[in-house]
Amino acid sequence: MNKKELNIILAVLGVLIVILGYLNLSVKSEYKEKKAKYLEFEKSSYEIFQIKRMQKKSKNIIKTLIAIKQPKVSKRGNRIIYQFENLNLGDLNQLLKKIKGSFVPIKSLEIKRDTTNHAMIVLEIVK
Amino acid sequence: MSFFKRTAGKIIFFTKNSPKYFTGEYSLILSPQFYWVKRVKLPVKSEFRAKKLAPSIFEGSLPENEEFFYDVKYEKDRDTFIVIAYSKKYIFDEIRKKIAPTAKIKGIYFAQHELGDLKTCIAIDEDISLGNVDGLLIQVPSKCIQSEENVRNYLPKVKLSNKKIKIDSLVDNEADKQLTILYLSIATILVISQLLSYFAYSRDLNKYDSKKESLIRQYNLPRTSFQLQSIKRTLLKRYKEQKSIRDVMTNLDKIALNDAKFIDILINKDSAKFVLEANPQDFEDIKRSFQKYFTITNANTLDNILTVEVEHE
Repeated sequence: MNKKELNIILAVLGVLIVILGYLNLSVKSEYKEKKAKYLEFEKSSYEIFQIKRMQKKSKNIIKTLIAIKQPKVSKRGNRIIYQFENLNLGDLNQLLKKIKGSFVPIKSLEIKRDTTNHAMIVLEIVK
Repeated sequence: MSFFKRTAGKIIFFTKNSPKYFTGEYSLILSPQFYWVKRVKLPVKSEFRAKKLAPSIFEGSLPENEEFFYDVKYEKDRDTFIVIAYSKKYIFDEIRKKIAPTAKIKGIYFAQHELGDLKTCIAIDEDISLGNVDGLLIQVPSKCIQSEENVRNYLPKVKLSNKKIKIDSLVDNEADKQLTILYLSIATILVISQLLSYFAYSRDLNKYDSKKESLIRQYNLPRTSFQLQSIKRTLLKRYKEQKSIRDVMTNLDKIALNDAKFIDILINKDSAKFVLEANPQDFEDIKRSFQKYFTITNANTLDNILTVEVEHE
């Protein structure tokens, strides 16, 4: 192989390097963009998953609340109202603790003193 | 068009007895000992066509297993061709022995072409001379002929022709060739690394696609980021509302009530209302305590009843 042929190969390789360099740059930037989008997607997915999981758990909380004290239940549109009456201090604190610790979708929460030693909770949640 | 005159460097008559050259630029005139010469009459007129016939002219008279090249010069006055056969490898090997890679060779010429019009015998060195026999140059021992002139004196008068051996892979280009090979190696490595990098990134691009697919299946998510963001915004808004309600419940435990007692607490998604029974003297203290945790929007008093309305985020 003479020098001329070597030079031609060198020139071809040079052109290849330039083309591949350009392709690499584009694929790298595409990669970075895709990675950033994926990471954002993954983060969002995880957050959504966490929130959905909390919401799912909250469904079970209502059963727990009912187990502590049987409420009066009424429905208004897409809302459900649980009225826990005649609660002594123990029941009141237990119910409030469960509500606070849960992720049950509260529309409104009202705590009223019934008598000196008893109270009631009106819990309105969104379906 | 050339702006710079290309110099031929120092012209030297090259024989196997030549001294070694380490630096400088040289044009070599090869002694007849490095090639075969024949004068022939051919049924063609052009040097180009004659060159094609050259191998048959030397058929059977050249060493075997060696590649030969040919050069042809037309002698108009005789209507004959001077045909030269030479082995590049042999010539280059001989040159390599005498010319260091640090010296530059500008051209390699045949004595037959450059000194063909020599009228007398000239001495090359003490032992050998160059003679002209009917227009064909031959190298002979000096003791056989009487040389009147020395080649050193004759060479400065020589005007080099354009008939020279192509030095595409010669001694002086050896370093260049090695450098070119080095560049080639580097370029090849670069090409390979670029290719590997390209394929690696392309593969990783697909990897993210499949990872995303897997996430979509695992969490039962929408396909586009736009839909996902929309769901996320809605869920986060609900989450913040719910968290704020829980924060109100938590902060209620921290409020210093003194002897006051709650009569009614109503918490909505962005506001809350507290009705307390307390000693009127404590009202201001209780309100200040509320202010630590909430933004009070309204506060009313009636006898020993304090109503505080707040907003929360």
